[in-house]
Amino acid sequence: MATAYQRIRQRKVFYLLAIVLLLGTAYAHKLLVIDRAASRYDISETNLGKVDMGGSISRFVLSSFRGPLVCGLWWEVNSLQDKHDYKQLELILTALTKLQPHYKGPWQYQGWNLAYNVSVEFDRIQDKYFYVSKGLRWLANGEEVNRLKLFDPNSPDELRTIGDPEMRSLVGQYLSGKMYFADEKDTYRPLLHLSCIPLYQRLPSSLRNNPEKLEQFKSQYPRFVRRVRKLQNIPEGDDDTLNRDLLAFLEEYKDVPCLWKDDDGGGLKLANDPWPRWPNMADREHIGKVADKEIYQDGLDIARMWYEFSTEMLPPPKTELSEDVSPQESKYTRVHKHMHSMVFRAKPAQTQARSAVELYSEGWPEEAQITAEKANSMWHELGIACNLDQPQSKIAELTAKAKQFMDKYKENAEEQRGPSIFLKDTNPSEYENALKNYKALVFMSNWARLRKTCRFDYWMETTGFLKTDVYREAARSKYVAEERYSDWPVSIANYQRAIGLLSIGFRKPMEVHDQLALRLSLLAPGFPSVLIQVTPTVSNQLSVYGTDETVQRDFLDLQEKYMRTIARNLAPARLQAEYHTWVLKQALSNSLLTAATPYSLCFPSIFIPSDVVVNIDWVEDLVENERGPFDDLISPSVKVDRTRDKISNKK
Amino acid sequence: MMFAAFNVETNFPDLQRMWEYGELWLRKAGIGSVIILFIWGLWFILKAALRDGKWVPYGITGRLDSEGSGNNWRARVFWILLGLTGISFAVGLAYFFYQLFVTGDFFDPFDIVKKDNTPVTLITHAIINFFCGLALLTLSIEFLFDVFRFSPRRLVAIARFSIKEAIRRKVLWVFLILGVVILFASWFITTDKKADQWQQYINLVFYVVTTMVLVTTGILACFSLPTDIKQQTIFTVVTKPVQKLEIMLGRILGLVFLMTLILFIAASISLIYVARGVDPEVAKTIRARNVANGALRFREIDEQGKTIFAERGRSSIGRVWEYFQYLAGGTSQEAIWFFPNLPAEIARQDKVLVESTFDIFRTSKGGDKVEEGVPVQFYFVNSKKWNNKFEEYRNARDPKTGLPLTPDEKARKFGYYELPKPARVYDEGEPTRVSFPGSIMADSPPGAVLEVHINCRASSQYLGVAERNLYLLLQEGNWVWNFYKGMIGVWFFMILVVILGTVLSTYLNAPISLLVTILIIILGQPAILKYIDEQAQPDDPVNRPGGRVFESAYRLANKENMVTQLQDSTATRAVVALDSSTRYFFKLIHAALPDVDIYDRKLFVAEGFSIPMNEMIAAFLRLVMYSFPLLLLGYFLLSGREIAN
Repeated sequence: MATAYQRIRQRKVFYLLAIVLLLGTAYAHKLLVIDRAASRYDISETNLGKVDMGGSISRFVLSSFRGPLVCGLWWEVNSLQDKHDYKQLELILTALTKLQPHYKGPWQYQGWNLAYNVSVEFDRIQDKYFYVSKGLRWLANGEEVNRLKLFDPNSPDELRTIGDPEMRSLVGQYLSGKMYFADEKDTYRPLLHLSCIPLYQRLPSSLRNNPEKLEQFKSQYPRFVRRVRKLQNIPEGDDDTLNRDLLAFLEEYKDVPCLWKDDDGGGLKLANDPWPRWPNMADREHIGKVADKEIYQDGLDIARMWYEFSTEMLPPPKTELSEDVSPQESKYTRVHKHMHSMVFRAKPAQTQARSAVELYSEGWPEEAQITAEKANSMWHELGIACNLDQPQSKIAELTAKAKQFMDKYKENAEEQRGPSIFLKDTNPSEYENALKNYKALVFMSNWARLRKTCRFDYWMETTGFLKTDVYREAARSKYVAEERYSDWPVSIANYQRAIGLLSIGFRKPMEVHDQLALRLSLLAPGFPSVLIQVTPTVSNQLSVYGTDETVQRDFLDLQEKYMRTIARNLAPARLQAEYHTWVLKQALSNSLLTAATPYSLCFPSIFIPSDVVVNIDWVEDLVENERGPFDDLISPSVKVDRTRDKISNKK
Repeated sequence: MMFAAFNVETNFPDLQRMWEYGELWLRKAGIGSVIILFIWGLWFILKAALRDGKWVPYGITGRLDSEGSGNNWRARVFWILLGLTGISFAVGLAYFFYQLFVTGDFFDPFDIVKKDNTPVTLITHAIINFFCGLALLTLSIEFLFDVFRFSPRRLVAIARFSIKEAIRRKVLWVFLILGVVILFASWFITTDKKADQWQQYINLVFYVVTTMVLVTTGILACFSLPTDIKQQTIFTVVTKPVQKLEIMLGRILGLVFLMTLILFIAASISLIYVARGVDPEVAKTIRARNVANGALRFREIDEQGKTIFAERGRSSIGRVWEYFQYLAGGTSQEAIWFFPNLPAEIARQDKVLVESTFDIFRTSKGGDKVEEGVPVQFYFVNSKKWNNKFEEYRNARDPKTGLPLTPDEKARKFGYYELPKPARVYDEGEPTRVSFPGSIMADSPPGAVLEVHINCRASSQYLGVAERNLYLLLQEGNWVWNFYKGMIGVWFFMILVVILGTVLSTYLNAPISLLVTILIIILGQPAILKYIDEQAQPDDPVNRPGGRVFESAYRLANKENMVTQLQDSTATRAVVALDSSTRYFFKLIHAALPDVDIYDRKLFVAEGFSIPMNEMIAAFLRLVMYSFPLLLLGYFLLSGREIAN
């Protein structure tokens, strides 16, 4: 018989065991049953996005006071924005995102606000760049926090990550916008390189007294060096000035936000809030390459990756073009709410093509050609995926069918309506035929609309030409011509070569018999045009590529630069000629006046001013406005637009 | 970038304007006393007539008869004061109606006398002040009698008792909060920019210490007395020969002492934490600048060629936040800061530094030169010496040597100095630093005022200026002492909460006292106080269309928007009149609320500016003035409670 004390102790032990057993069972039940069920029915917190312990605790503690507090904080945010108190604003917004982590508003609003509104309030470039990067980091953080994890029995861990395509694409959009369209883009681009290079590699104090190391740095980051050179307007070959300005640049912008920690040991550790951001920062293999390979340090390349990342969330494109092609969301897919899905789908390929254009213009023809080839294949794949790439014969057949339907059922065609159902009862075979024709009409309508929406033809033609050796050589010559703009004969020769080569893509190829005739004519001495020597096989008609207004504008730009260089080269000689003519005119007018006036002896040196002042500027303008190599080909509307732009710029 | 944005929006009290504030306070307190005495008088007459027939008043609390009816001088003093107040009230009312009906002016007793007013008005105002003081004295005479009967020993005993009680309630656990903050604060301090570290640390510790101290104080103050009453432990005190006022003041003193100790320890720990936490490079830049602030005015030449002085700049850029006033670039517009009472040693300095921060509103980007800022010219003028003889100034030469005078000599001779070339000013950037020779103020006649003129030279750009954003650097202060001065602001706030909580808990139960205290503190926030103040201002259909509560309700009911003209009818006139009269209600509310923003000095500490001592003394005086009516209220409430009798 146990004593009272023993009984109490036994009871306590029993209670303890019971507690452990109950809690253990409850915990096991939670793990094995409740968590799985929550995951299966998508009702756990991870289904809303990334879980943050601090934020969850604060929300739990605040309970129903969260609402008023959030209202107050938003009020404060607006007030701080008015007062330009950005430090405090950031703190409040951080608190807001802790309280409302899965409300995308603060993330999107502040990302845009910091990158576009706050950054422009500052005068100094490093401050502007800091807030641009801050906005983009903010947006990227928001995107990461709002990646849902939904139950998917087909995934290895039964969870599939679903992100927000809009937020992802915004990162790409803001990044490319700031790095390639902002007024400060020429400074932002080298700064982006600095952000990717660890501080210990670009430390000016270590490079300044070590020429070998400086040369090694320059050879490792040639794009960065070239961008700095262009920014500082340093001529090619002036290495002393370049070295001095490069070191000054590295010193001035030493403290830009960086991808890596400021680690004296020289190791590569990601910073706490790294910049720039890639969609998958956990991909250490890719991130590891960034420090050394410049190709990964480009804004457009990073933007393309974000666009690709955003299109992952889209539902697969509908390939049956004879039906409705609007994308439909499902559990695992999302549709961009503010952009046509075709435009959205084309963003990665479009950015890749832009990247090729930029590389060409910055004088990297080999890399640009590779990029253009990839862009072309991306557009091609997009065309196949969306069923936009159709054989000519099929298009002709469907066009004929569509025309038949339009001719026969005009009203239905205008209203995008199929054949009447009554026709099915009265004339089934005619109905079948009309239905096929109607489907052809819908197909053609969708096909044309989708191609037009994403400018499929333009990009296919452009990237198709960009990837050719002809374009590469043309771009090389154009770059040399622009770089050596003050060395007129060299510049003109290179412009001529570039223009000649570009004409191959800009104009249609000549028919065979015309080519033969032309080649024969070349045997005759003194043929006037140098351009025809270089591009002997093109006709005087525009190619498909050449008919696009964007292309025509680019060619007009090129022509203007070329004519300006010619004008500067020819102007002194022309001025002399003009001056002699002008003197002759003066003398003639004087003598006529002398003969006609009895009092002429009183005014022997009378001067009749010409309406034109003969000087070098006037002569340059005269030469510049002479006919250029593309004048006959460029559409008048493009020229009119250009003239209007010039006038408005002068105003 | 350190110490970049020092935008002081709070109108901190200073000793020079304290007289004006004191006068306004006296008016409010006096008129409030008249209203209370009037209500009490009505209640007393009704009570005498209907209940007990006692027609002789023995004070508001009715306890002056306890002194014995034979030689009750205190009661007689009260009767005399009450009679005089009644007479002055009647005179005041007659004057009010005389003004209203005979001269047609609505006499507002809250319009403070100005220095340039006519002597008649001055006398009128002096009489009103006297009447108000009389009413306040009548109301508070019993309180004052009791104050003179204080026993310091009893007061200290009660204070000790309240300290022990608070410690037994585990008040010291509050330090745990500080410990947690110190452990995890680094999570919230971003290190994007080292220069911002100091501000972030200061903001964090001030937020934490203020919240920690105020919450603890509020709970202790509101729960102390009601718990005693509820647990009946107060009987052990009230059965002793202790005054009711001593019970209240003893508790207040005890809590203030205890919380002061806690605040001091918390502030010291925070200081050590901050000093150790910031980057060594940042630590070197911590400052506490003693500066001289001036009064800002604007000058420009109008279309007729006349010079106009204005309190506000004429150029508007349409920004909602009106802290900055804008000067149009490339025009004659000038902002002028007047520094009337500069210390004499300024004249002995070779160079006097002037720091300023501006806001730039650009109407064009300014091309490549955007990075070079906006050119702004600075002129320095000694008002008593400069006589606008520019030609003479520019060609001044030494009579002996015939050489041109140096800028320092010119400044001494003419009392004028201008920068050799305009300074470059950056938007959201570092402060602009310029200097002028101190000799400009040398050999000045008495009453010389230093004027700093600025003029924006960039056409199409607007330069935003604010009074506090240009200052003369006098000397460097001690930043540790400045940190503690910032904490003294928190201390003032804490005293306010102690008094509020204790006074409210004399009548309300503990949770309600706490809620009311919180409510008063919330209503005392600058944004809300500003809103209430706007409602208390005369009607302004242009800037505040739609009226107040009644007019808004009428417009809502009739589906009319805020700016449409109301139909002229008896009903609308009645509504508008009723609506206009509500401003006095808002005035009353505004007078009853504390301006808690004047105790928040963390901006000065964070941005490296020494908190002026005269402003601290003025803030303390404001606290005393606000507390007096509260203590009076607490005295009457406690006296009226059954437990205390």
